[in-house]
Amino acid sequence: MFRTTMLLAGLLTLALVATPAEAGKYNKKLSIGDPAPVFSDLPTADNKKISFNDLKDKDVIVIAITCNHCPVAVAYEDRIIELTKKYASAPDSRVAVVAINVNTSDADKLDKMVERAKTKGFNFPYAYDESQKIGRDLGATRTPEFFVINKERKIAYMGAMDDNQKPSAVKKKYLEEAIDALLAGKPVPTEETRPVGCGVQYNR
Amino acid sequence: MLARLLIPFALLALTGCIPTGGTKCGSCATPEAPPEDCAVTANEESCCSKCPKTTAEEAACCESSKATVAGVELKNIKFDDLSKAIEAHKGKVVVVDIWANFCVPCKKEFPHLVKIHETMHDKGVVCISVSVDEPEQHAAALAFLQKSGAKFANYRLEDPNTVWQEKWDLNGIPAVFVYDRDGKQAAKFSFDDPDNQFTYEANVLPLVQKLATTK
Repeated sequence: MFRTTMLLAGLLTLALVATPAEAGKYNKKLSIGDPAPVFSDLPTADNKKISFNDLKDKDVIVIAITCNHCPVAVAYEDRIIELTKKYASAPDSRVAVVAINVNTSDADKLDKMVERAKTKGFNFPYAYDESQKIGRDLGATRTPEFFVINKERKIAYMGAMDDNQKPSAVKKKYLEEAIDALLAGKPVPTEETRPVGCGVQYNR
Repeated sequence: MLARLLIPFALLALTGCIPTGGTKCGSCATPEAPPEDCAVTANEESCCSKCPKTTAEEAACCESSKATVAGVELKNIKFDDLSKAIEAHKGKVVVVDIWANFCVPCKKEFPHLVKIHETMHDKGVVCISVSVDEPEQHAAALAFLQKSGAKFANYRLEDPNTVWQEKWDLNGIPAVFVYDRDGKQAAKFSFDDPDNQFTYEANVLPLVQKLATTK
C-alpha cells in the first residue's frame, strides 16, 4: 500500500514537473490540449489549395505562422526547410509541415509569397489566409510562431521553434523535441514558449 | 473648422518631408504633389540638397527638414536605466512607444507619437521611443526617427530580446505604455492578443488626452 502511494505520489510529481505552468501563458487564445482550429481551401504559393482535412493521415501536424517581410521569419526559413526534410518529406512520413501567412500588407500578399517560395525553394506548402481567420483562431501574434498538433488533433506545443534566432547559438530545439516526443508516444517536454518575431497585425 | 482640421496635417507634412525625398524630389510643397506625398515617397535622397528650391514653401520645407534632423538622436540604453529615465518624468504623462525598424505596424503608428509630442508636449505629456533593433540596425532606426521628426528622447535597448520580453511580459512589438502623472502605469497596449490589438487612435490617444487633463 505504502509503495503504491509512493509510486502514485512519484507519478504525480512527475506529472507536475512535466506540465509546465506556462500553458496558455503567452498565447491569449489557446491552451495546450485545446482542439486545433482548422482551415480549408487556402491558396498556396505553388498554386494549389490546402485544407486541414487533407492532412488527416498524419500523426503530427506542424503549423508555422510566418510571412515574407519579417527578418525573424526570414531567419527561420532555412530551419523550416530542414525540419520538413527531416520529418515530412517522405510520402509515408507521419508528420506534415504547413506554413501559413496571415499578413495582408503588400509585401506579404500571395504574389510575393510565390516569389519567396521560388527563391528559397520551399519544400513545404506555403498557404495564404487573407481572412486571417486561422491566425486569429490560433491566437498567433508573431511571425514566425509554431504550433504542433497531435493525433487527437489537439494543441501539443506552441511558441518558438527554438531558443535562438542565430542558428549557431541554438541550445534548445523546442519544436523538434515536441515532434520527437509525440512520435515516440511520450509527453511533450516543453509545451509552450514565448514566440519571438514580428507582430502580426489583424485587420479590424 | 476646416483650417483647424488641416493644421495638424500641415504640421505633419512639414515634419514628414524631411531629410529625404528622392522620387518626389522638389515637389515638397507644390500643389500637384501635396506635402503628405512627400513624406510617403521619401526615400534615398534628400530633396533639400539635390533640388533647386523653386518656391518659398519648398525652401521653408527644407529648412524645417534640416532643423528636424538636427534635433533627433538615438541613444543606446540598458533596461534598468530606461526604467529610471521613465521614472524621472514623474509629474508628467509619459508615453513610451516600443518599436523596431523591421516592424511594419510600429512604423505605421509612429506618426501618432510624433503628433502627440507636437500637440501635447506643452500640456505635460512626454514622449519616449524605444527601439528594440539589433545594433546593426541602429543607423536605419535613426534614419526612420529623423524622417519621422521624432524630436524627443529616443532610445535603443541594448539588452537581448528575452530581457525586455520577460520584464515587460510582452511577446513582442508594437507596444505602448502610458504612465500617469503619479508615475503609475495606466495602460500597456500591445499586439499580443489578436482580438485586442491597439491603435493610437482608438486606444492610446483617448487615454493620453484624458490623463493630460488630470492635474
